[in-house]
Amino acid sequence: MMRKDWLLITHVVVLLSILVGALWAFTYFSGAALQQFCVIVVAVVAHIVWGAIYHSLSNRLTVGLLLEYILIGALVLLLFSWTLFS
Amino acid sequence: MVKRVLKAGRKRFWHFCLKNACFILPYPERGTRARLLKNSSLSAYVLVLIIFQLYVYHLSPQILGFATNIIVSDLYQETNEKRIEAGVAPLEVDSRLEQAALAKAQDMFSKDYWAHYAPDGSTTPWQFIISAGYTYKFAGENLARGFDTSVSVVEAWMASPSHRANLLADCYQNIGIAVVNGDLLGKETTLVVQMFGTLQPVVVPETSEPVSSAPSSTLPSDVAGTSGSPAETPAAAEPEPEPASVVGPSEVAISQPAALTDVVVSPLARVARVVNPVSSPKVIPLGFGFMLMGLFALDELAMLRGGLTREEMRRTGENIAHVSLLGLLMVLVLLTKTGGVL
Repeated sequence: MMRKDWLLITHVVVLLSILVGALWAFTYFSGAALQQFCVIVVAVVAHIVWGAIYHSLSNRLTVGLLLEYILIGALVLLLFSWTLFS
Repeated sequence: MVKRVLKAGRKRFWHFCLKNACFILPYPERGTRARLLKNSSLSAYVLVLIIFQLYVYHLSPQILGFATNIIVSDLYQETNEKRIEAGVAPLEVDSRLEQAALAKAQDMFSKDYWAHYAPDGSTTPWQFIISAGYTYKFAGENLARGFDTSVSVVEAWMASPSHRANLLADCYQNIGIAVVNGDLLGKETTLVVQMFGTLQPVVVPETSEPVSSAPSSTLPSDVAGTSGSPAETPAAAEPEPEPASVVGPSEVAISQPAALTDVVVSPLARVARVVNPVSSPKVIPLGFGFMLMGLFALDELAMLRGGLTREEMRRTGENIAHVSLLGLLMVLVLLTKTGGVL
Protein backbone atom coordinates (compact mmCIF):
# COMPACT_ATOMS: atom_id res chain seq x y z
CA MET A 1 0.00 0.00 0.00
CA MET A 2 2.83 2.34 0.95
CA ARG A 3 4.60 1.57 -2.34
CA LYS A 4 1.40 2.27 -4.28
CA ASP A 5 1.02 5.68 -2.62
CA TRP A 6 4.58 6.60 -3.44
CA LEU A 7 4.09 5.45 -6.99
CA LEU A 8 0.96 7.56 -7.37
CA ILE A 9 2.69 10.62 -5.89
CA THR A 10 5.66 10.09 -8.21
CA HIS A 11 3.26 9.69 -11.11
CA VAL A 12 1.58 13.02 -10.42
CA VAL A 13 4.91 14.81 -9.81
CA VAL A 14 6.38 13.51 -13.08
CA LEU A 15 3.26 14.48 -15.05
CA LEU A 16 3.29 17.97 -13.52
CA SER A 17 7.01 18.30 -14.30
CA ILE A 18 6.37 17.41 -17.94
CA LEU A 19 3.53 19.95 -18.13
CA VAL A 20 5.40 22.81 -16.45
CA GLY A 21 8.62 22.10 -18.35
CA ALA A 22 6.82 22.02 -21.69
CA LEU A 23 4.93 25.23 -20.93
CA TRP A 24 8.12 27.03 -19.90
CA ALA A 25 10.06 25.83 -22.94
CA PHE A 26 7.16 26.72 -25.26
CA THR A 27 7.01 30.31 -24.03
CA TYR A 28 10.84 30.50 -24.05
CA PHE A 29 10.87 29.63 -27.77
CA SER A 30 7.98 31.98 -28.53
CA GLY A 31 7.91 32.84 -32.23
CA ALA A 32 10.16 29.93 -33.28
CA ALA A 33 7.73 27.36 -34.65
CA LEU A 34 10.25 24.57 -35.20
CA GLN A 35 11.67 24.77 -31.68
CA GLN A 36 8.15 24.89 -30.27
CA PHE A 37 7.29 21.75 -32.21
CA CYS A 38 10.43 20.08 -30.79
CA VAL A 39 9.21 21.00 -27.31
CA ILE A 40 5.90 19.21 -27.81
CA VAL A 41 7.70 16.21 -29.35
CA VAL A 42 9.87 15.94 -26.22
CA ALA A 43 6.79 16.27 -23.98
CA VAL A 44 4.97 13.53 -25.90
CA VAL A 45 7.97 11.18 -25.80
CA ALA A 46 8.34 11.83 -22.06
CA HIS A 47 4.61 11.07 -21.63
CA ILE A 48 4.95 7.74 -23.45
CA VAL A 49 8.18 6.71 -21.69
CA TRP A 50 6.87 7.61 -18.25
CA GLY A 51 3.57 5.85 -19.01
CA ALA A 52 5.50 2.67 -19.84
CA ILE A 53 7.66 2.97 -16.71
CA TYR A 54 4.69 3.67 -14.46
CA HIS A 55 2.63 0.75 -15.73
CA SER A 56 5.68 -1.50 -15.65
CA LEU A 57 6.26 -0.61 -11.99
CA SER A 58 2.61 -1.36 -11.19
CA ASN A 59 2.81 -4.64 -13.16
CA ARG A 60 0.14 -3.56 -15.66
CA LEU A 61 2.18 -2.96 -18.78
CA THR A 62 0.81 -4.57 -21.93
CA VAL A 63 1.33 -4.00 -25.63
CA GLY A 64 -2.20 -2.62 -25.98
CA LEU A 65 -1.61 -0.17 -23.18
CA LEU A 66 1.67 1.01 -24.69
CA LEU A 67 -0.11 1.43 -28.02
CA GLU A 68 -2.75 3.56 -26.29
CA TYR A 69 -0.05 5.96 -25.02
CA ILE A 70 1.60 6.08 -28.44
CA LEU A 71 -1.72 6.80 -30.18
CA ILE A 72 -2.65 9.59 -27.77
CA GLY A 73 0.85 11.06 -28.26
CA ALA A 74 0.52 10.84 -32.05
CA LEU A 75 -2.87 12.56 -31.89
CA VAL A 76 -1.47 15.39 -29.81
CA LEU A 77 1.45 15.84 -32.23
CA LEU A 78 -0.83 15.87 -35.27
CA LEU A 79 -3.28 18.31 -33.71
CA PHE A 80 -0.50 20.61 -32.57
CA SER A 81 1.25 20.60 -35.94
CA TRP A 82 -2.11 21.54 -37.44
CA THR A 83 -2.11 24.77 -35.49
CA LEU A 84 1.59 25.49 -35.69
CA PHE A 85 2.22 25.00 -39.38
CA SER A 86 -1.10 25.97 -40.94
CA MET B 1 -52.65 11.32 -32.63
CA VAL B 2 -49.99 13.94 -31.86
CA LYS B 3 -49.43 12.37 -28.46
CA ARG B 4 -48.92 8.97 -30.02
CA VAL B 5 -46.39 10.36 -32.52
CA LEU B 6 -44.54 12.16 -29.74
CA LYS B 7 -44.48 9.03 -27.60
CA ALA B 8 -43.17 6.95 -30.47
CA GLY B 9 -40.52 9.58 -31.22
CA ARG B 10 -39.40 9.65 -27.60
CA LYS B 11 -39.24 5.89 -27.50
CA ARG B 12 -37.13 5.80 -30.65
CA PHE B 13 -34.84 8.49 -29.28
CA TRP B 14 -34.15 6.60 -26.05
CA HIS B 15 -33.72 3.38 -27.97
CA PHE B 16 -31.16 5.12 -30.17
CA CYS B 17 -29.38 6.60 -27.12
CA LEU B 18 -29.18 3.27 -25.32
CA LYS B 19 -28.08 1.49 -28.45
CA ASN B 20 -25.26 3.95 -29.11
CA ALA B 21 -24.33 4.82 -25.54
CA CYS B 22 -21.40 2.42 -25.72
CA PHE B 23 -19.70 4.87 -28.09
CA ILE B 24 -19.33 7.54 -25.44
CA LEU B 25 -20.00 5.72 -22.18
CA PRO B 26 -17.55 3.23 -20.66
CA TYR B 27 -18.49 -0.13 -19.19
CA PRO B 28 -16.18 -0.52 -16.17
CA GLU B 29 -17.75 -3.81 -15.14
CA ARG B 30 -16.77 -5.27 -18.50
CA GLY B 31 -13.34 -3.69 -18.27
CA THR B 32 -13.86 -1.68 -21.43
CA ARG B 33 -13.64 1.96 -22.32
CA ALA B 34 -16.07 3.89 -24.47
CA ARG B 35 -15.80 2.75 -28.08
CA LEU B 36 -14.60 6.19 -29.12
CA LEU B 37 -11.60 5.76 -26.80
CA LYS B 38 -10.58 2.27 -27.85
CA ASN B 39 -7.26 1.80 -29.58
CA SER B 40 -9.01 1.04 -32.86
CA SER B 41 -10.86 4.38 -32.68
CA LEU B 42 -7.68 6.26 -31.71
CA SER B 43 -5.90 4.67 -34.69
CA ALA B 44 -8.74 5.81 -36.94
CA TYR B 45 -8.43 9.42 -35.65
CA VAL B 46 -4.70 9.39 -36.33
CA LEU B 47 -5.24 8.05 -39.84
CA VAL B 48 -8.00 10.53 -40.65
CA LEU B 49 -5.93 13.45 -39.37
CA ILE B 50 -2.91 12.42 -41.43
CA ILE B 51 -5.00 12.06 -44.59
CA PHE B 52 -6.84 15.32 -43.96
CA GLN B 53 -3.64 17.28 -43.35
CA LEU B 54 -2.02 15.81 -46.44
CA TYR B 55 -5.06 16.67 -48.50
CA VAL B 56 -5.48 20.20 -47.22
CA TYR B 57 -1.86 21.32 -47.31
CA HIS B 58 -0.33 19.34 -50.13
CA LEU B 59 -2.95 18.11 -52.50
CA SER B 60 -5.48 20.91 -52.39
CA PRO B 61 -3.92 24.18 -51.23
CA GLN B 62 -6.37 26.14 -53.36
CA ILE B 63 -9.24 25.49 -51.00
CA LEU B 64 -7.75 27.89 -48.50
CA GLY B 65 -9.62 31.16 -48.43
CA PHE B 66 -9.15 34.68 -47.15
CA ALA B 67 -11.38 35.97 -44.43
CA THR B 68 -9.44 38.54 -42.49
CA ASN B 69 -10.86 41.65 -40.94
CA ILE B 70 -7.94 44.03 -41.50
CA ILE B 71 -9.05 47.53 -42.36
CA VAL B 72 -6.46 50.01 -43.54
CA SER B 73 -8.20 52.99 -41.95
CA ASP B 74 -8.24 51.10 -38.65
CA LEU B 75 -4.50 50.48 -38.94
CA TYR B 76 -3.90 54.22 -39.40
CA GLN B 77 -6.17 55.00 -36.49
CA GLU B 78 -4.63 52.38 -34.20
CA THR B 79 -1.11 53.52 -35.07
CA ASN B 80 -1.87 57.17 -34.37
CA GLU B 81 -3.69 56.29 -31.15
CA LYS B 82 -0.60 54.46 -29.92
CA ARG B 83 1.56 57.44 -30.84
CA ILE B 84 -0.74 59.90 -29.08
CA GLU B 85 -0.75 57.65 -25.99
CA ALA B 86 3.05 57.73 -26.07
CA GLY B 87 3.06 61.52 -26.39
CA VAL B 88 4.26 61.51 -30.00
CA ALA B 89 2.66 63.51 -32.80
CA PRO B 90 0.30 61.52 -35.06
CA LEU B 91 1.34 60.72 -38.62
CA GLU B 92 -0.17 62.05 -41.81
CA VAL B 93 -1.11 59.62 -44.53
CA ASP B 94 1.02 60.07 -47.66
CA SER B 95 -0.17 58.51 -50.89
CA ARG B 96 3.42 58.04 -52.11
CA LEU B 97 4.23 55.93 -49.05
CA GLU B 98 1.02 53.98 -49.67
CA GLN B 99 2.21 53.27 -53.21
CA ALA B 100 5.63 52.28 -51.89
CA ALA B 101 4.02 49.91 -49.39
CA LEU B 102 1.87 48.39 -52.12
CA ALA B 103 4.87 47.96 -54.43
CA LYS B 104 6.83 46.33 -51.60
CA ALA B 105 4.01 43.87 -50.87
CA GLN B 106 3.70 42.99 -54.55
CA ASP B 107 7.45 42.51 -54.79
CA MET B 108 7.34 40.09 -51.83
CA PHE B 109 4.56 38.09 -53.46
CA SER B 110 6.12 38.05 -56.93
CA LYS B 111 9.59 37.06 -55.65
CA ASP B 112 8.13 34.89 -52.88
CA TYR B 113 10.09 36.16 -49.88
CA TRP B 114 9.33 37.32 -46.34
CA ALA B 115 12.02 39.87 -45.51
CA HIS B 116 12.81 43.58 -45.63
CA TYR B 117 15.38 43.05 -48.36
CA ALA B 118 14.83 40.78 -51.36
CA PRO B 119 17.01 37.67 -50.93
CA ASP B 120 18.54 38.18 -54.38
CA GLY B 121 19.55 41.69 -53.37
CA SER B 122 17.52 43.26 -56.16
CA THR B 123 15.32 45.48 -53.99
CA THR B 124 15.43 47.32 -50.68
CA PRO B 125 12.50 49.01 -48.90
CA TRP B 126 14.03 52.41 -49.63
CA GLN B 127 13.97 51.85 -53.37
CA PHE B 128 10.19 51.53 -53.26
CA ILE B 129 9.89 54.77 -51.32
CA ILE B 130 12.16 56.67 -53.69
CA SER B 131 10.48 55.13 -56.71
CA ALA B 132 7.13 56.39 -55.45
CA GLY B 133 8.53 59.91 -55.54
CA TYR B 134 9.07 60.34 -51.83
CA THR B 135 12.52 61.83 -51.18
CA TYR B 136 13.02 60.94 -47.57
CA LYS B 137 15.14 62.23 -44.76
CA PHE B 138 14.02 59.43 -42.46
CA ALA B 139 12.30 56.21 -43.47
CA GLY B 140 11.23 53.00 -41.80
CA GLU B 141 9.26 49.83 -42.50
CA ASN B 142 7.20 47.36 -40.46
CA LEU B 143 5.80 44.13 -41.88
CA ALA B 144 3.13 41.71 -40.64
CA ARG B 145 1.46 38.61 -42.01
CA GLY B 146 -1.05 36.02 -40.93
CA PHE B 147 -3.19 38.20 -38.67
CA ASP B 148 -6.97 38.33 -38.59
CA THR B 149 -7.69 41.84 -37.36
CA SER B 150 -6.23 45.33 -37.52
CA VAL B 151 -5.94 45.47 -33.74
CA SER B 152 -3.93 42.24 -33.56
CA VAL B 153 -1.48 43.57 -36.17
CA VAL B 154 -0.77 46.78 -34.27
CA GLU B 155 -0.64 44.92 -30.96
CA ALA B 156 1.96 42.52 -32.38
CA TRP B 157 4.09 45.45 -33.54
CA MET B 158 3.74 47.11 -30.14
CA ALA B 159 4.79 43.88 -28.42
CA SER B 160 8.06 43.79 -30.35
CA PRO B 161 10.58 46.37 -29.04
CA SER B 162 12.09 47.08 -32.45
CA HIS B 163 8.74 47.48 -34.23
CA ARG B 164 7.41 49.54 -31.36
CA ALA B 165 10.44 51.86 -31.62
CA ASN B 166 9.70 52.30 -35.32
CA LEU B 167 6.00 52.88 -34.75
CA LEU B 168 6.53 55.45 -31.99
CA ALA B 169 9.58 57.22 -33.46
CA ASP B 170 9.10 60.97 -33.30
CA CYS B 171 11.30 61.56 -36.34
CA TYR B 172 8.55 60.37 -38.71
CA GLN B 173 5.85 62.64 -40.08
CA ASN B 174 4.16 60.50 -42.75
CA ILE B 175 2.81 57.00 -43.05
CA GLY B 176 1.56 54.69 -45.78
CA ILE B 177 0.04 51.24 -45.35
CA ALA B 178 -0.87 48.50 -47.82
CA VAL B 179 -2.81 45.31 -47.08
CA VAL B 180 -2.43 42.74 -49.83
CA ASN B 181 -3.63 39.18 -50.26
CA GLY B 182 -1.58 36.64 -52.18
CA ASP B 183 0.32 33.40 -52.18
CA LEU B 184 3.49 33.68 -50.10
CA LEU B 185 5.84 30.74 -49.57
CA GLY B 186 3.14 28.32 -50.68
CA LYS B 187 0.49 29.70 -48.36
CA GLU B 188 -2.32 32.16 -48.93
CA THR B 189 -1.38 35.15 -46.82
CA THR B 190 -2.59 38.62 -45.94
CA LEU B 191 0.47 40.87 -45.89
CA VAL B 192 0.55 44.23 -44.13
CA VAL B 193 3.29 46.68 -45.11
CA GLN B 194 3.66 49.84 -43.04
CA MET B 195 6.03 52.53 -44.36
CA PHE B 196 7.11 55.55 -42.34
CA GLY B 197 8.87 58.61 -43.63
CA THR B 198 9.82 62.24 -43.28
CA LEU B 199 10.44 64.29 -46.37
CA GLN B 200 13.85 65.72 -47.07
CA PRO B 201 13.48 69.45 -46.50
CA VAL B 202 14.15 71.68 -49.44
CA VAL B 203 17.31 73.54 -48.50
CA VAL B 204 17.95 76.91 -50.04
CA PRO B 205 21.67 77.48 -49.70
CA GLU B 206 22.45 80.93 -48.36
CA THR B 207 26.17 80.47 -48.60
CA SER B 208 28.30 79.16 -51.38
CA GLU B 209 28.99 75.93 -49.45
CA PRO B 210 26.63 73.03 -50.20
CA VAL B 211 24.52 71.73 -47.34
CA SER B 212 24.56 67.98 -47.00
CA SER B 213 21.88 66.08 -45.18
CA ALA B 214 22.28 62.31 -45.35
CA PRO B 215 19.06 60.33 -45.23
CA SER B 216 18.46 57.79 -42.51
CA SER B 217 16.39 54.66 -42.87
CA THR B 218 15.35 52.17 -40.25
CA LEU B 219 14.08 48.64 -40.15
CA PRO B 220 12.88 46.96 -36.97
CA SER B 221 16.00 44.80 -36.83
CA ASP B 222 18.18 47.91 -36.84
CA VAL B 223 16.72 49.14 -33.59
CA ALA B 224 16.30 45.81 -31.85
CA GLY B 225 17.29 46.05 -28.25
CA THR B 226 17.84 49.78 -28.33
CA SER B 227 15.73 52.47 -26.82
CA GLY B 228 16.84 55.20 -29.15
CA SER B 229 14.80 56.57 -31.97
CA PRO B 230 15.52 55.35 -35.48
CA ALA B 231 17.01 58.70 -36.33
CA GLU B 232 19.82 58.02 -33.91
CA THR B 233 20.65 54.72 -35.55
CA PRO B 234 22.58 54.92 -38.77
CA ALA B 235 21.31 52.69 -41.52
CA ALA B 236 23.71 49.96 -42.55
CA ALA B 237 23.34 50.57 -46.24
CA GLU B 238 20.74 52.52 -48.03
CA PRO B 239 20.68 54.20 -51.39
CA GLU B 240 21.16 57.88 -51.73
CA PRO B 241 17.79 59.40 -52.39
CA GLU B 242 17.60 60.50 -55.93
CA PRO B 243 15.56 63.40 -57.19
CA ALA B 244 11.87 62.74 -57.18
CA SER B 245 11.79 63.02 -60.91
CA VAL B 246 13.66 59.77 -61.47
CA VAL B 247 10.60 57.55 -61.22
CA GLY B 248 7.21 59.06 -60.77
CA PRO B 249 4.40 57.45 -58.84
CA SER B 250 2.64 56.61 -62.04
CA GLU B 251 5.51 54.36 -63.03
CA VAL B 252 5.15 52.13 -60.02
CA ALA B 253 4.11 48.76 -61.33
CA ILE B 254 0.63 47.86 -60.22
CA SER B 255 -0.05 44.22 -60.83
CA GLN B 256 -1.91 41.40 -59.17
CA PRO B 257 -2.35 40.80 -56.31
CA ALA B 258 -4.10 44.08 -55.80
CA ALA B 259 -4.09 46.01 -52.58
CA LEU B 260 -7.11 45.79 -50.39
CA THR B 261 -7.96 49.22 -49.18
CA ASP B 262 -10.57 47.77 -46.88
CA VAL B 263 -10.42 44.08 -46.18
CA VAL B 264 -13.84 43.93 -44.61
CA VAL B 265 -15.71 40.70 -44.28
CA SER B 266 -19.37 40.26 -43.69
CA PRO B 267 -20.61 38.83 -40.38
CA LEU B 268 -21.41 35.62 -42.27
CA ALA B 269 -17.83 35.38 -43.50
CA ARG B 270 -16.56 35.94 -39.96
CA VAL B 271 -18.69 33.07 -38.72
CA ALA B 272 -17.50 30.97 -41.65
CA ARG B 273 -13.90 31.71 -40.68
CA VAL B 274 -14.46 30.52 -37.14
CA VAL B 275 -16.30 27.44 -38.27
CA ASN B 276 -14.01 26.67 -41.20
CA PRO B 277 -11.30 24.42 -39.74
CA VAL B 278 -8.92 25.23 -42.56
CA SER B 279 -8.90 29.00 -42.20
CA SER B 280 -8.93 28.85 -38.42
CA PRO B 281 -6.21 26.39 -37.45
CA LYS B 282 -7.18 26.28 -33.79
CA VAL B 283 -10.73 24.98 -34.25
CA ILE B 284 -9.98 21.32 -34.98
CA PRO B 285 -7.27 20.85 -32.29
CA LEU B 286 -9.41 22.54 -29.64
CA GLY B 287 -12.60 20.70 -30.63
CA PHE B 288 -10.86 17.35 -30.77
CA GLY B 289 -9.05 18.01 -27.51
CA PHE B 290 -12.30 18.91 -25.75
CA MET B 291 -14.01 15.80 -27.10
CA LEU B 292 -11.26 13.43 -25.94
CA MET B 293 -10.95 15.13 -22.56
CA GLY B 294 -14.71 14.84 -22.07
CA LEU B 295 -14.64 11.14 -22.91
CA PHE B 296 -11.74 10.53 -20.53
CA ALA B 297 -13.58 12.47 -17.82
CA LEU B 298 -16.68 10.30 -18.36
CA ASP B 299 -14.49 7.23 -18.13
CA GLU B 300 -13.01 8.40 -14.84
CA LEU B 301 -16.47 9.20 -13.47
CA ALA B 302 -17.73 5.75 -14.40
CA MET B 303 -14.75 4.20 -12.63
CA LEU B 304 -15.36 6.23 -9.51
CA ARG B 305 -19.08 5.34 -9.50
CA GLY B 306 -18.19 1.69 -9.97
CA GLY B 307 -16.22 1.77 -6.72
CA LEU B 308 -13.60 -0.56 -8.13
CA THR B 309 -9.84 -0.15 -8.16
CA ARG B 310 -8.03 0.19 -11.46
CA GLU B 311 -6.41 -3.18 -11.04
CA GLU B 312 -9.79 -4.81 -10.59
CA MET B 313 -11.33 -3.05 -13.51
CA ARG B 314 -9.14 -3.24 -16.51
CA ARG B 315 -5.78 -2.76 -18.08
CA THR B 316 -5.96 0.67 -19.66
CA GLY B 317 -3.85 3.79 -19.46
CA GLU B 318 -4.20 6.34 -16.71
CA ASN B 319 -6.85 8.91 -17.55
CA ILE B 320 -4.98 11.57 -15.59
CA ALA B 321 -1.92 11.16 -17.82
CA HIS B 322 -3.92 11.45 -21.04
CA VAL B 323 -6.02 14.35 -19.77
CA SER B 324 -2.91 16.24 -18.69
CA LEU B 325 -1.29 15.79 -22.11
CA LEU B 326 -4.48 16.87 -23.88
CA GLY B 327 -4.79 19.83 -21.51
CA LEU B 328 -1.23 20.80 -22.37
CA LEU B 329 -2.07 20.58 -26.05
CA MET B 330 -5.02 22.90 -25.65
CA VAL B 331 -3.08 25.48 -23.63
CA LEU B 332 -0.26 25.46 -26.19
CA VAL B 333 -2.73 25.77 -29.07
CA LEU B 334 -4.27 28.80 -27.38
CA LEU B 335 -0.80 30.28 -26.77
CA THR B 336 0.32 29.76 -30.36
CA LYS B 337 0.49 32.92 -32.40
CA THR B 338 -0.53 32.37 -35.97
CA GLY B 339 0.70 35.73 -37.27
CA GLY B 340 4.21 37.11 -37.59
CA VAL B 341 5.89 40.50 -37.73
CA LEU B 342 9.16 41.53 -39.36
